[in-house]
Amino acid sequence: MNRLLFLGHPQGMRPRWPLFLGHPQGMPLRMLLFVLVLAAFSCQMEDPSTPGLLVPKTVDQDPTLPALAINNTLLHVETYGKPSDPLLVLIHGGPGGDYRSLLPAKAMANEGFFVIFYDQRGTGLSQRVSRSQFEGADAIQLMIEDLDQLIGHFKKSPSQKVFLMGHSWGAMLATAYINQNPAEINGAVLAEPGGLTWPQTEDYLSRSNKIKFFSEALNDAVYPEQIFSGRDEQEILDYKASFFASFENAPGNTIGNAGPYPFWRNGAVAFNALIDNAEQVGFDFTTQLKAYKPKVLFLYSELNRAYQLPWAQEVSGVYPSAQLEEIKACGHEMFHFAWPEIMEKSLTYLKELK
Amino acid sequence: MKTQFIVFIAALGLACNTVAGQDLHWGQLQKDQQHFIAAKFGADYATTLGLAYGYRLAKTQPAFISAEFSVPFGTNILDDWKFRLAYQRRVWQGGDLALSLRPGMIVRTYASNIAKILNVGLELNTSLGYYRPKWFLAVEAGVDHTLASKLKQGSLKENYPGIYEGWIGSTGGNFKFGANVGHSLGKQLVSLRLGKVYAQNFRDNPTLPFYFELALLKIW
Repeated sequence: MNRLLFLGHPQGMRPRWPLFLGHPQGMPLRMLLFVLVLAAFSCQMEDPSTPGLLVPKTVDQDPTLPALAINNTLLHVETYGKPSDPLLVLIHGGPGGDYRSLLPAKAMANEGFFVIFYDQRGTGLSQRVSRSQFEGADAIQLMIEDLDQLIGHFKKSPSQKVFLMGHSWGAMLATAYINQNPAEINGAVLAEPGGLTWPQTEDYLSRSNKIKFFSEALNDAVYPEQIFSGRDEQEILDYKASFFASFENAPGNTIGNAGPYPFWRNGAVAFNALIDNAEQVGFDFTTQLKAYKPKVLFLYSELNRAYQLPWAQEVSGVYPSAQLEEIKACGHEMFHFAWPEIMEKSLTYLKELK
Repeated sequence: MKTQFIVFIAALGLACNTVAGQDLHWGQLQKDQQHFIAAKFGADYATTLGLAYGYRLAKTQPAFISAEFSVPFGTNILDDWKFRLAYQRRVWQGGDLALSLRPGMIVRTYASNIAKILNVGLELNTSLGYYRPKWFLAVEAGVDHTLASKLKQGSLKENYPGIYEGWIGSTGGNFKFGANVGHSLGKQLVSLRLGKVYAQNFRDNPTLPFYFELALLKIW
């Protein structure tokens, strides 16, 4: 039997177009109709920029969130402990990250510290701000001033001690603050700051973000960029940034992360604008560090192949006194994956200075 | 990954008998040519492999319906893919110059531990080229606009239980500007496309801000 007769073609002749497509001369019209129907329905669909749809609402959109208005912005801020105890300010990474993965550190409140968490300007659950705030030579200065006003808000007396605990970019920002205000800070725990100058940071980023062009990790990070492309609303940019952030947690990642870690929102504008800003104007947080007397605790992780002891020595070397400690069996996101060891080492260090 | 390479090499073998041109070599189109297939390797937001098939609508018309399927490299072969259905037509010819249009629709998927996405979009590409018997050179421009996406959240749902799942409207689009060159090698023709990708607002541009495509095409 003729195979095509078996398939039921009316003339028993082989059609000259693929059966599954139907008659090709009708295809353009059918395609157009399908697309018009879909386009009509797309107007009825959820708008991806709706607050709270794809990323959590921020403090200005949800009044139930803990917030503090300082320096002409509204920050997401939480505190734990007794306000008269020495302040311990947690500074998250990124730029553009949030403090959610640092929350295990609230246990420090039981050790006699008043623990302060805040999402930096334009990040996490803090109010979104325009990109222009992260542009120009004063962009990082604005972040330093935010931190300064945050400390000033919670500091009850001149004798109340202030300690900083920063992770990654947060450790860089902590250093930037110490560089300008060495007398204000009584000690600091710094966990893997990429670098303390822009050239140093570029060096680290070139190793930590090394791209493998044929990897699943790469297409998991960038393939959605053809779908989320060119919408200006920050809600969409933040959701899209979640995909890009997956790169650092992919199996086999260079920085040793065991997997994803919790976060609220990737502040896409803050991240992109501050990186662009650093490329344009650079930074150097080390100019006055020689004046800083207290010892700092400098942490690096065993599994972050882009960091390791030699880099920790180089980055921390600008501090007059630095105690280096390796956090075992974890990578860059050590606050989430290895908090007990960090707490133990931090408490030993902080109790000396408290 | 090995499977992807085997499929690609097999497709190249199929395409290497007689080849006319990429998308298409309008200057060499013969009346009795009704089908084309193409095998492609390139960068399209990620590094990709693709296969395409085209059917000519009528012998007297320089117009094809084409279907193209592409996947990015990676260990999970079919978690991400893109399918294009397009109508491509030479709309003007003057001597060795020709202008072609290619409107079409796109269906694409993305999957990772973050989320799964099914997206439908529209695209329109145009090229203006100089076509000689053995080679051609064309400049091209295209727009790819998303219409709707269906989201199924993964690990993001653990972070934000209230996150929306379901259909959302347009999430933007992009423009492509570039060039396409082709050269005959006996009965074969290889073409290379190269260009720049911009987000529709020209600010939120992709991490890989360029595209390229090496293609072998057979027409008969």
